[in-house]
Amino acid sequence: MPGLYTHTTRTDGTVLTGAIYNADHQNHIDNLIPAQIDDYSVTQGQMQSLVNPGEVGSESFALSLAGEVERLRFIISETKGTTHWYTSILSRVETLCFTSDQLNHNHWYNLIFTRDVVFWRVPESYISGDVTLSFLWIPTDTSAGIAQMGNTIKRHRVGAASTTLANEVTFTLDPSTTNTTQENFLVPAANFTVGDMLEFHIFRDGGHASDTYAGIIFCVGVLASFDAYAGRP
Amino acid sequence: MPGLYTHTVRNDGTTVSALIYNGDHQNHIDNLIPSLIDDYSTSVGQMQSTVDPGEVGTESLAVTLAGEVERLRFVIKEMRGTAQWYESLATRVVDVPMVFTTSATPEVWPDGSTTVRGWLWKVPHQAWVESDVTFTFYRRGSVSSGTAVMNLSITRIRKDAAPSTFVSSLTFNFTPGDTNTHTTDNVASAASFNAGDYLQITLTRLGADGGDTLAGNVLCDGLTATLTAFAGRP
Repeated sequence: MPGLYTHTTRTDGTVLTGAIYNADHQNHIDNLIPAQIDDYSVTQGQMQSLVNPGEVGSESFALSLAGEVERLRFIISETKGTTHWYTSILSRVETLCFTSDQLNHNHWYNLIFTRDVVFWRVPESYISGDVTLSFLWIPTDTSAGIAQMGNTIKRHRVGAASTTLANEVTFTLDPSTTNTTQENFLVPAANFTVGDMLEFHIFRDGGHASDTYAGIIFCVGVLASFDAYAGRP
Repeated sequence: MPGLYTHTVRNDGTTVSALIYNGDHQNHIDNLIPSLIDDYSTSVGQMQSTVDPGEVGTESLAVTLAGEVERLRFVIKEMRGTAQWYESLATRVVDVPMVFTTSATPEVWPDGSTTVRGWLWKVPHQAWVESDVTFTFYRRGSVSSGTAVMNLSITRIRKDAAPSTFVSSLTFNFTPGDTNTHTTDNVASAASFNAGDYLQITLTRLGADGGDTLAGNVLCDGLTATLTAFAGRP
């Protein structure tokens, strides 16, 4: 579309006075404001159009205001890490720091009880939806047997009693491969809000009769996955 | 305001020659450049005006250049997490990772013994504005009565420099009064550290001290650092 204003249509035989002539030109100037200039989003495709402005020393100069808009959009898209500059939500995975109750940090042994503990504050960048807490593990070998495991998840909120969301929920690991494996635990969104502390325990109950794996389970990482505002730290 | 250029005023009786006519129209075209088009910030309210562009599949298409500007502003504001798109500073709260404890149970300072818990935090390089940082300790009692005798130390660790303890065994007792989670703040002065330094924070319970009357565990529910940061900067 063109500019978003009109001009007065003159008819044949009109005497072009100074007033008419000057007003018709002034009309163009008066309407040269952003609200009367057309958009650069005529279609979804045009709204998504981006141009890389380059780097210092290899700049790509815009040749029109549309080009300026495209370059601003590109930088927003690049900063957010999204395909489109206006996408709000981006799935984010954070690496969490865990502390073990064993001197050999991250080793979960047979015959004894071993536990790792993680604290994670739900950040301001969280939008909505469930959070997945995960841990990645590898076994020392693929000998027969299973490891008896469990997890506990608590929510802490200032001025409120702590809430246990999962209490020593048991599960087993079958070390049939020495590849890294990920176990996921869903924390429903209804149970927390921004600013809450989540406390995540993962343990191996190596002394349990059902724990038949003689090797060591290594915890190699704990993660939190959630939907975040794209580009927000 | 309108466009930021003028046109030549013609008087009655002027013969509008082709030269005048064409020149007056060409004048508009010649001035149709961004620096001569009016702004979209005629007031604070207009400068703050934003419009959500929607998501892929539910786009809100701009219908004017003003609408384009409003949508770009919205996305910038959303990325920065600020109330207005142009605010430079934002308060940021970040987790401080616990890196060691002398307790057999990582989340507990038990009664009857001395237990140290340590955290390590790197002062962010790009985001931190050189102002004080508030460390907020989340603590909880397994019992509601009594006071746990605790002290706090903070040591600055800097490459090629000796460690410098700028908070040394500061009394940091805990009297819960109930079994809810409570927070206690310590403000670390910006004069004590620079961006890129590591701060090692240790909180010790002297559970065997005669003054420690909390007959139970003090539970650690986390530690955060609150700082003033450049909005949007990681």
